[in-house]
Amino acid sequence: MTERIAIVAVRDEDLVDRAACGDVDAFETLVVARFNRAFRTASAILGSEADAYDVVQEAFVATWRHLPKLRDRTKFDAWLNKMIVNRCRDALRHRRRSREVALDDALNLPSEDASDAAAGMAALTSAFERLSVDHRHLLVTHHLHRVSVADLARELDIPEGTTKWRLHAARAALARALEADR
Amino acid sequence: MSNRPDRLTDDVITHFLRTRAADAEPGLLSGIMHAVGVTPQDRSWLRLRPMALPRQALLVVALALLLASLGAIAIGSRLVQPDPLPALQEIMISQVIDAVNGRDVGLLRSSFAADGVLEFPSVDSTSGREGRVYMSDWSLDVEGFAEAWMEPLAAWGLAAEVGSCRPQSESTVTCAVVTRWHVLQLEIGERWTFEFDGDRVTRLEMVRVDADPPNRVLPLGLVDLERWEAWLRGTHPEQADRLLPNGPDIFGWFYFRFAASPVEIGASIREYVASQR
Repeated sequence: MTERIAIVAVRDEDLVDRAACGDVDAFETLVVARFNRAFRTASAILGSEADAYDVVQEAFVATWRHLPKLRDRTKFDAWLNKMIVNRCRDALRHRRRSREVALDDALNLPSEDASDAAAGMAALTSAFERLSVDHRHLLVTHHLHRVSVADLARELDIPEGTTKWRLHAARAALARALEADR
Repeated sequence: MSNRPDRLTDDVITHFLRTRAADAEPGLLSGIMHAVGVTPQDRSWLRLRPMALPRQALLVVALALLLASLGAIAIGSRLVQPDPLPALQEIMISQVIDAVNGRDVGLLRSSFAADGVLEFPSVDSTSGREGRVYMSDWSLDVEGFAEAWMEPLAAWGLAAEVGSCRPQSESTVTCAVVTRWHVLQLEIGERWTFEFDGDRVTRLEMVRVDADPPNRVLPLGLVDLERWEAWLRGTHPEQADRLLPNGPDIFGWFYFRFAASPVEIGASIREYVASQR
């Protein structure tokens, strides 16, 4: 199993190398493996599919443009994540609180029977939208994509202990925001 | 599993994020690859692959380069665009912001060189409070300094957000930063200048440049905070005597004299904001 993971990692690095030399097909292979997760990340952070579409497209294009400058090929995913998070930050700066999907539609809940649940989720939405983009990204990566703390540390290129602390801080911030809304 | 967030369990957070996240439409992939197909990569001349160009094309290219050079000399270096921020510096800036927002002293120290300093000249061009120097060249290796600095940030609920960054030189980057002090409902525009030695920050200078950002998210600018002070003195004089400092400079006060009841001050400011609607 370990060998298999190692082989996949090497292939990714080769693809990054080839893409950095202008190989569009290699870059497409990298994109295909990542664009859905990138979109789910951005849409969860932003709460808007339209904004997420723009953010993800811009992030991948910027990654392509600057790829020749990425010296450490193993840092490709950390770099891509940074591109996405930075663009989410820009997107949030340019809009305040526009939501395109009504909460009941998003949750697919009948309004009367599930009013308590809907109210709870609305509170959670409000609290989540008070978090920084970095905190949102941590929670999305760990809780939505089920990335372990160790893998998250690798993705963010920071020590595992720091990752654990930041995750704790993000969750505490969410709890505080939730409490403040009550 | 309950979906109500009465208890913020892993399951609640996961369920919430699943309802919030959407899958990508297939059109996104083709959109990305179409854009990639028409986007050139940034690369140095040395890494360009050799191309077989006809002599006329080479002549045109040479002529264009000559004209561009003459144009650059004539117009001046001001119009030459700076290079994009090096990835490492971008990561380190982001790490410092993370440390500030997460009140993470360890991360902050690890982002700086051993002799790294924070500088707070607190000089600005728009608020009319030039020249007040509260701290200057504080070394992060002074025992307890970083922790002491973090305390008011936590008390007043600071969240810093980086805007655009521009390299000023190979080792200096200037960023527009919005600082939001959530307990105070206050938002200020600042300029943070990072100086690097290799992959570590050696100096971070924070300068307030916009005391009243026009498109801010939070309701108050610095002037409004002083209006709140006047309002508090008028409507709740006893509370004002207890909470407010003697000096006129509220910015210096809220930043460093953090012991003054942030919860009570936050509640009073919320009352003031509501009264202004």
